[in-house]
Amino acid sequence: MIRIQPDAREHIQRNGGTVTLRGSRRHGCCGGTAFVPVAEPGRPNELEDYRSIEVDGITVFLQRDVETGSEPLVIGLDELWRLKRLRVEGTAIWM
Amino acid sequence: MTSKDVQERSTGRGPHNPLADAPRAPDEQKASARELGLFGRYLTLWVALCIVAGVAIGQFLPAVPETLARFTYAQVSIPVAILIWLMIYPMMVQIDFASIIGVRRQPKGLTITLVVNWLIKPFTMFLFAWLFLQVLFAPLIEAGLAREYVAGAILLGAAPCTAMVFVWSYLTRGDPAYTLVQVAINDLIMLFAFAPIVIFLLGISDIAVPYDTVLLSVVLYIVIPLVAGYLSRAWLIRTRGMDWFENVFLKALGPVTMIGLLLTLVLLFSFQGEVILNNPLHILLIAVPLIVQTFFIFAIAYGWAKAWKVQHDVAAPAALIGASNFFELAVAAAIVLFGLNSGAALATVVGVLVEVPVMLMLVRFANATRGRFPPAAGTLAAQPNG
Repeated sequence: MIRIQPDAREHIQRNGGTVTLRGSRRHGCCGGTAFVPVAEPGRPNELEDYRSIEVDGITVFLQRDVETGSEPLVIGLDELWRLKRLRVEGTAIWM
Repeated sequence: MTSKDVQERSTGRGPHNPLADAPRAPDEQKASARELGLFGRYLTLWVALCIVAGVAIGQFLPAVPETLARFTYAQVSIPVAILIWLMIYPMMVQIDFASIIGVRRQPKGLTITLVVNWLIKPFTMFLFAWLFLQVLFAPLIEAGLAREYVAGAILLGAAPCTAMVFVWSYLTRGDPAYTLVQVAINDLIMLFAFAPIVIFLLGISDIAVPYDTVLLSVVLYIVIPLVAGYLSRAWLIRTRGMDWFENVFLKALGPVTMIGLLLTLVLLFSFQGEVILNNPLHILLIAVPLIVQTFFIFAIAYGWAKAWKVQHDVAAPAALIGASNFFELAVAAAIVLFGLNSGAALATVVGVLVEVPVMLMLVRFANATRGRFPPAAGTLAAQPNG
């Protein structure tokens, strides 16, 4: 399940109305790999690796092989001065 | 979001309705050593084998370390510098400094991690190392060597974990957005705080090191890899795309840190043979204050988070980042400041030896105590209403 907060929705709409939600790879120095869920405005380059869903008028490209946790993934917006960036809250993605 | 808000549109692999899949909670059992893979699960064993291999090379093939020791420039060992860059660069290239935009989102969690990492941790590490190695174990360790071990512990305590914290956070179902922010901010602070903290604590330990040598280690093993990581990350993402960067470049780079780490340890212990063979018990003695410090720092941060009613997915990564050390940097700085055959370098390696087993214990404790913390805000706000 995916939820988009109002300010994030507005930001995505201003940037084309689509958002890509994927797991960002992080290697531990002692082994192990974690996938940090991240959201970026726009479509992914490798469309076949994603499925798309409509959430509140926004097209979300969700990476395949994603298992969401028991709670929804929530796309929010962080702002610092004039800088804006989407963030994802919710259980980490298990690949 | 209601179910009718969601319309599945196939993009090439057939229809898929995400709501048709009951969302599965990540299996709690997965949060174990298994997730670390073969390397991480047995890191202590690999480190022990590197100690044995290094000592054996030093004893039976002394020409190898002697030859490598000749390749120096401005008193910096070139082979060591290359191996350390191999360890540190892959971590630095993963840092997403743009995540700092989210700095205001979890002020309590960030306050805890910053205060614990920079105002408490370096000083308690020094305190425990001094107490155990120079006071309680004084009859067992020669005074000069004990002082060098304390220096190694100071280097371990002066920088928080940079890469492994993502895995610890993952294993405790930590908030990934918060983890990104805390790593980026701590690494920026490390750029400016590492040298002053090390100089100050070595100073009160009566260990004189030239300022320019400390600065050299900071430039070589923090500034250069950090800038190289930032610039190459930006360039590769711009020219090859994020997908290639993460799924090809980072995937290929993943094992490099581990290979660099193990080769550095073999090289280091090829110079450490005499110290180890003469004082095999010292490894255990050095481990004591390091383990005590790890539990102590975790207890402070985790207890503080509990007292402040911080949600568990922030409390766990905030506590785990301080408990875990940036030991690659500590090993590098110890080699630059004190040499490959120094007690300080040995102490930093003991940090590597105990890291994974101790941190896994804390991960299990954090998972077992999740219910005692407030749930994540998103959990309550995001209940489906359809």
